[in-house]
Formats: sequence, C-alpha cells, structure tokens
Amino acid sequence: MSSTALLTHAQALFYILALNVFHIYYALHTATRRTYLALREWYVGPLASCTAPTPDTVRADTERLSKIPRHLAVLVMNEEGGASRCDEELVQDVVKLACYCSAAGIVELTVYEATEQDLTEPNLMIVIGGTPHKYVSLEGFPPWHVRLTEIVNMSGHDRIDYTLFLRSLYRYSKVEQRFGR
Amino acid sequence: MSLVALRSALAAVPSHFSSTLTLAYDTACNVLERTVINAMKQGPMPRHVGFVMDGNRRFAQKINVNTGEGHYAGSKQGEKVLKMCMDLGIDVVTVYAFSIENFKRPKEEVDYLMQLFREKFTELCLHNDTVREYGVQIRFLGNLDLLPPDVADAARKAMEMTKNNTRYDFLFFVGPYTCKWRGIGSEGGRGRVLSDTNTHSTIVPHFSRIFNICCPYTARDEITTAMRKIVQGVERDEIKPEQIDDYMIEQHLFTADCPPLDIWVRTSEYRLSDFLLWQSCRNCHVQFVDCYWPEFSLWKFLPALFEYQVNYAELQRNRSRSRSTLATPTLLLTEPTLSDQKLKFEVTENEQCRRRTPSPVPRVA
Repeated sequence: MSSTALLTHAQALFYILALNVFHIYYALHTATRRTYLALREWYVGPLASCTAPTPDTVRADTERLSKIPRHLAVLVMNEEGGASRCDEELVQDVVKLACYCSAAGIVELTVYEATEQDLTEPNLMIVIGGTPHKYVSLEGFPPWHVRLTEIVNMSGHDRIDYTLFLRSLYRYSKVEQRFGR
Repeated sequence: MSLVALRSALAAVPSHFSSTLTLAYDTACNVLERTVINAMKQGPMPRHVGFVMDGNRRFAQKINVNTGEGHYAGSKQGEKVLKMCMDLGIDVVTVYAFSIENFKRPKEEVDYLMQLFREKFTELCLHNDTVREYGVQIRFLGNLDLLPPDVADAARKAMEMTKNNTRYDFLFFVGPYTCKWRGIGSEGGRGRVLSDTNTHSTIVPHFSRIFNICCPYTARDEITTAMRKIVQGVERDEIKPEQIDDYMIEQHLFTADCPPLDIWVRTSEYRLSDFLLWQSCRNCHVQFVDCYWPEFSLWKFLPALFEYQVNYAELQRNRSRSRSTLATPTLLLTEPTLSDQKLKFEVTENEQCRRRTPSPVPRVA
C-alpha cells in the first residue's frame, strides 16, 4: 500500500468515526430533551390558571390574546419508533379539545385522521408525535389547504392537554403575517 | 451570531496582529467545516433539498441597513448555500427566490429585485465557480411571462446555456482500489455504463446536479398549471381520464424530473407559504430554522441533516410503499454521445481511493 492510499484510507476512517460521534451526541441530546422541557416548564410555572378548565377559565385565559385562529387543525404524526398510541385516548383528547375550542371562540377544528370533504384553510396547525424532534412530517395532510397555515411543532407530546392548547394559541397570537407584501 | 461577534472582535484588535488573527480564525473555520462535511457524507445524504430564503428585510432592519442591501446579502447567501449543498453531495437544490405574491410589494423594492435578478442570472451561468465545478444545470421554475421581458430573457438564456451541464465519474481499478476521476462535459455523456476492458475503466453516469430557482412561483400556480397540462392531454386524447392519479399530477409538476423532495427548509417563519406544497406533504421533512436567511450556515443546517440520517431507513420504506414518489430520471434515457475532444478531465482535491466493495453505512442507534 502506498503512503497516499494509506493516508486517504485513514482519512475515510476518521470521518466515519467523527460521524458516529456526532450521531451519538445528537441521540443523547434528543433523549434528554424531554427532561429539559419538563424542567423548564416546572421552573417557569404553569401557563394555565388551572389544570381542569371550565368554559369561564378558558375564556379568561384566551380573551387577552391579540388574535385567535378561526380554524385550528391538529396533525397526529405516525412514528414507528415512538410509543404506541391508544385510539381511545386520542378520541378523549379530541373531545376535550373541541370543548376548549368552543369556549375560546375557535370556529372550526380539524383533526387529520378524520377526513372532511369541504375543508377550509386552517389558520393554525398543532403537530404532535412521539419523540421530540425538529422536523415536521405532514404525512399527506391536504397540501392545497395548508398554504398559509402557521405550524406549531409539539412533537415529544403524545397527548393534547390544555397547556399544549394554550401554548399553541399564545404562539399564534404573536405571529405577524405579511401575505407576500 | 456569537461566531460573527468573535470574528469582528478579532478584526477590531488594533495592531498588525488583527489580520493574522482573522486569517487564522477563517482557516480554522474552513478546516472545521470541511471535516464536518466529509464526516456527514459518510452517511446517507438527501438528494433534493428546498430552501425558502426568508428574512432578508428583517435582517437588514436588524443590522440597520436598507432593504436592498438585505436582499443583496440574501442573494450572496444563496450562492454560499448552493456551494455548501454541492459539497455535501446533495444533487438538487431548489430555492424560493420570488413569489407571485411578492409583486404586491412597493414598486422600488420590486424594481430593485428585478435589477438584482438581471445581474445574478447571467453571472450564475457565466462566472459562478460552484456551477462550473459541479456541472450544475440551472432551471427556473414558475411562470416566467410574469417577469419583465429582459429578466425573463436572461433566465431563459441561463437555462439554455447550462441545460447540458453534467458531470460523470470515471472509475479506474488499481488493484483492490477504485480511483475516481471526475470529468465535466458540456454535452451528452449520460446514458448506459460503458466498460473498457483495455484500460479497466468504467464510465458511471452521474445524476446531474440541478439548481432550481423558483421565480416567480407559487405552489398553487404550479398545481393548477399541472392540472391544465393534464386537461390538454385529455383533450388531445393522449391521456385517458381514468389514468389520472396523484402520480400523474406529480409527473406534470415543475419538479417532475428531479428526485423526490427530502428536506424542506425555511428560515425565520413557521409557515409553508406556497412553496413546494405538493412535494413536501408526503415523505419529506419540513424543517423550520429560527434565524434570518443571511444568518443561515452549515451549523444551522446540521440538525436537519442529522434527523434525515437517523430517519433515512423509515423514509425509504415509506417511499417504496407508495409508488407515486418514484421519479424516473429522464437523464438516463438518452444515448451517450461521448466525444473525447469535448471532455475535460479534472481531478478535484477531495478524491479518495476507495475499496471497490462499498463500505457499510454506519449504523446509528
């Protein structure tokens, strides 16, 4: 083996080693992210005034927001590596979410797994999934309608609860849309 | 931003050391970037990445310059990102340069942008080093008739001049090692694999690198144009109505002969805003990066690449399950027209001699 061939071989091995080190670091980062988010929430304090909201408390929490979406969509990502989801729990969550929406004044709610014929454009989309990650996978949600939808990435949460709902609304209220202008 | 602050701090050191310090800093950054790029290339890389170049005006506000300079910084950043993607081995890069909705902006801004396009489109095909080195084809996606005639002409000329750009690899077998020489040609060269037993060499056609510039473009306009083409096909009896499905629609989009979109990236906002809506809705990672476009860099792109590599197997499995995402590379269907005089052989400095049997992709937990 000539020395240059040996050198390039060594180089290739070094790069493979470096790649594996990066991936191990990233896997650790992902594994600890949920703990970090939980710690942060404990430190910052709860967003909602109480955990078992009634229509009055929902209205109180949301009326000081500068804007509320008219149509809210929820997208549940399917992941092979994530924890298996129970359909019954999802239905319960959707029912609760529908109640929060009607109290907050959100007119339309779409949950992706139930298809509708006459779909209008959602203003806000909450994406939930199993493992926390930065990417969002739309998984065939009607593309025409999500042209201007604000997408909130809540991957890492399996259940939709009131805190998640309120946090997404807060995010939406701060957004400024220019529509190309 | 802290890296930029560090560099400006180094440059502000008031002595003749400042230039050496900044040079050392730049060299260190370059070396680190090349190491990381070479390491990432050992794993699976996406073939098609789309970028929304958003946040130029707000970046200009942030550093207290006018919006024109923000757009200029954005265009320079676009070229840097193209080079970064080509170095990483990404075949197709699609950028969102101008939306049909952007015509609603103030007239001065639109005029400035058109002037910028006028200069940039010709510069890209004539003087850009990345385009020349990687044999990149430049394509413009969108309705060019909406642009001023001279800008549209510059775009069409750039497409015409680069449409036959390609790059192919010659493999020479030296003992147990395969050495790769890269040839850049301006005509033909794609097609079936040729073997030459005398010199033990093989020509492997390489999927051409493509740079798609979406200007002026909206995804809804793309989908409606595809529908119109299909309707015309039905009227001419070339297509039967029962053959129309989502695969056929994909074949009539502007990105029909590009590989399926792997990563969709947007800086500074969390919306899709009419960019590659159809292509991004299935088997594609949508990544939102929290910075302005002129601040985007390899380090901000790295998490997206990591997540792509970690989920690569699942993505490929989902793709093979749905046939509509198979894009037939039409480039491989033409007969090769190799002409030795027209070929120029260049050995790039990153060539490595590798074993002929491919090394396994590193397994990641």
